[in-house]
Amino acid sequence: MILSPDFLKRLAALTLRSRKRGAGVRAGERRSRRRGQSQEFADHRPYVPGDDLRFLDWHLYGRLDALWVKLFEEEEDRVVQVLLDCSTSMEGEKLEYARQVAAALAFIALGHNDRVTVAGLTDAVATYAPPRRGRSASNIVFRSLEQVHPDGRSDPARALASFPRQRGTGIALLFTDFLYPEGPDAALRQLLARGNEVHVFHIVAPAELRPAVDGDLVLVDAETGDELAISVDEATLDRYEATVHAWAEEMEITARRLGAGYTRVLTSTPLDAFIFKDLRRSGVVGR
Amino acid sequence: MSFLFPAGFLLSALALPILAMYFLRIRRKRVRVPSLMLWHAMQRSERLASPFDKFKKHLLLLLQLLLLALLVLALTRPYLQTEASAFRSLVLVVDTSASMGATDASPNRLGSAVQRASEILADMGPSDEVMLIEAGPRTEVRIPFTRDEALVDNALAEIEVTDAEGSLREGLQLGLSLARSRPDVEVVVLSDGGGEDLSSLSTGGAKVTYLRIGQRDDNAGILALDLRRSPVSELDRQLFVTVEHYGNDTVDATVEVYLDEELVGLRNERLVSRAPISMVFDVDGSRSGILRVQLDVPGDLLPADDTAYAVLGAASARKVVLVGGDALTARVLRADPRVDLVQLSSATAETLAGADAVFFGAEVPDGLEGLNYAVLSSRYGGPAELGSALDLPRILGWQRTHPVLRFVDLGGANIARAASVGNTGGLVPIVDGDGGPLILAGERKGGRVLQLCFDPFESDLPMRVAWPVMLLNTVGWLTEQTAGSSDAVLLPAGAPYIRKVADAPQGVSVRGPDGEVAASVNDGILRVVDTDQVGVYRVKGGGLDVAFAANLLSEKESRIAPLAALSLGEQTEAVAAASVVSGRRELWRPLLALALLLMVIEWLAWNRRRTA
Repeated sequence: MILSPDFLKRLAALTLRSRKRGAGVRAGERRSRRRGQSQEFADHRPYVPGDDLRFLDWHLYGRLDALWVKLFEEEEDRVVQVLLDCSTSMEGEKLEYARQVAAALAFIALGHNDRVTVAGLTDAVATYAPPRRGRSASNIVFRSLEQVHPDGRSDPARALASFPRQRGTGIALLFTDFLYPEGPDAALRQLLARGNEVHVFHIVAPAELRPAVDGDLVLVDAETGDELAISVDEATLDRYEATVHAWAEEMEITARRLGAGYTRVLTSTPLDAFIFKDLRRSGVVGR
Repeated sequence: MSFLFPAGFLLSALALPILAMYFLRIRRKRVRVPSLMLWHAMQRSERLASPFDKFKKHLLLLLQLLLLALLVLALTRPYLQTEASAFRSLVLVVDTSASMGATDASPNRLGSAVQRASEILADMGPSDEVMLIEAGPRTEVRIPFTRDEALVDNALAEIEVTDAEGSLREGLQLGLSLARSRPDVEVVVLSDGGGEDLSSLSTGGAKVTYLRIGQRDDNAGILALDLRRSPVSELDRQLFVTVEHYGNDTVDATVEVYLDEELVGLRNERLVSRAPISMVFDVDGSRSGILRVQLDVPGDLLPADDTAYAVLGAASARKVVLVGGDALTARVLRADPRVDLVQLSSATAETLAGADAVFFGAEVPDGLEGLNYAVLSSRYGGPAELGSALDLPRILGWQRTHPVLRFVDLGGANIARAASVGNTGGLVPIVDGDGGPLILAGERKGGRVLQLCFDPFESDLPMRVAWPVMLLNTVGWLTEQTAGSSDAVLLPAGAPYIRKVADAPQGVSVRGPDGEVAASVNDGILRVVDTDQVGVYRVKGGGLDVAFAANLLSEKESRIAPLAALSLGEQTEAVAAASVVSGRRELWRPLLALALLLMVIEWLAWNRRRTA
């Protein structure tokens, strides 16, 4: 079990907030821009022949002697796409942490009748679980998350090119470490082009900020196997740390520039604090 | 810039193993990282931000290569030619006389001179040649002209200061004469001046450079030492000591006399500059041993003249042999309590061996080397060749100061007949007549000899008081150096000790102040030449067990103020403060110093990197 039952209970009180109103295909709990037949009153408009007479506002007719039709917000479901970067660079604590956050957000989404799909991405779609709806699908979604294993090189743009197109639009939650030379641009554009609201979770391990290495080393790239002979001292580490910070900021700027949400999280952050404090504060989840 | 050892550049190849070791030396730890992307990014930004970082990364390697380059360069012995002279000859004359032991230079003047000489050698060109002459008590060519600097350096290291009076004049003269065969020759004198008159020396066109060694003149020394019979007691002795201070100020001096290291005399004196003070110490004649006189003056610079020795022998009878002779002479000799007289009618050299003195009233045999003897008549032969007879020679004069003629009055003495002297045989006249010498005396073949050129019984001399007095004076003079005699054997340091040995020479050994001393025995004559050190020398073997003392006792050496300039016949050379010998300037010393500095920097860099 990725998350404990107690934690899941607390998650049930949360909703996954959307920065925009998306279009679903089935009635869900989300309000759509489309006017529909839900209980949420939205507006009036003059009656035109052919309108459903059930929606005529008789009270208004009595006062104004004019026929007006009540318009309601149509409540639609959403597709929440949980996309995990499962390249080798995510191996270990990063993937584990991403998996937990993804499970929590998927659980929240399922609780509000959103459809949740899970995919593991390398330079292709490594794993894919089709959309599920309802709390009852939680375990299936969790299992799908557990089946995501780190292997291969990162190229999310290429992977997303072969990712099944979902009906309607929704939220794409991308969990990645951004450690691919192509950068996030192409991948984010692809997701956004499909009308998704995109939120990026930049997973960073503390050891990546300032590696605990020293002396004359050969660094081996976990994904490519490339090697780099380097002499590391405190000054080198200082420079490396500065490079990481600059790069992370660049990732954030890129994501925000494209219209995606961005949250950077250190894997050392307690999950509880991250979900209930950080994500609430940033408006990703709410009550 | 040129190189004395260009083959040294081959060692530059050592850079290859250094490079190989640098890049292969470390077994780098392999560390798996999620991605190299950011490491590469960091390196790119480093290169853009600071092109020198790459240099800094290999700083240690660069320092090591630079260090190797400096060492290789130093090994090739680069030099700068400071003068156009392509070939020169250099004669180094090093003064090793006692005054060079003065300690106003470190460790002493000779040490300073050797150092200056080494510096001169270091500046020599590859084709220059050098000769080393030691001017001490003996003048010696230590190294003839050579281009092998190491040979000269080694010889310089072996040179030692002596306690003896030296002759810079002889050393310089030898150097100049040997330099004449060279066209471009320079004679460098490393000395404090020597205190001799060099004005008659001709440089013969050679350039003479005087490197003055030493600066100060603060020295007091023992100038004279003598051990004599006491005028009061036949057995007692008196020690005469003269000391003088050559510094400019007045100093308090202590003179101590030790007999076998037992203090037997002490005098405190205030020494005024250049005012000699003499003092007399009474010595108990019944004792024998080594007398040591020690002068103690604060701030004294020359130790060699602060100590003097004398060998005190116990008074004992001297074995005097009278060969032939008359009753009067025998009676006179027997009357002397110092004399143990043996009378022989005739003798050979063998039968006379062991005698302290021999008086010949009969034919003189051959082979008397090392023997002290007196020939009492012109009829018996002797070393001097005597010729035709001279009638009624008149005595014109006599050496009143000669020990034989002390208290002897020859005025009015009449001589009926004497023999003319053809060859004095190495003796000198002490009594002169109008026809030539009448009495000859001197040292010959290791012994003292007195020869009369007339028959005393053809004169009225035996009738005079002068005759017995002269005979007894002769006994004293002939036996003056004899072992066991009352008078000490005192030699100037550096002077040879010569005496006859009776037995087979194999067993003769001489022990000086610093250990065994070389001695040679030829034809029954013992010669000890190496008496350069002040102290007591003991001769054993060959029938001898004697001691003699060598002392400096030289005003020339005690007056240590260095001369400002040497005045030569044709040239007056001023003092040179630094090395005046021009030639090449070798650069290996500064290169090595730089390499050392670089090593320190490299160590600091390595340490900093390691502890960062």
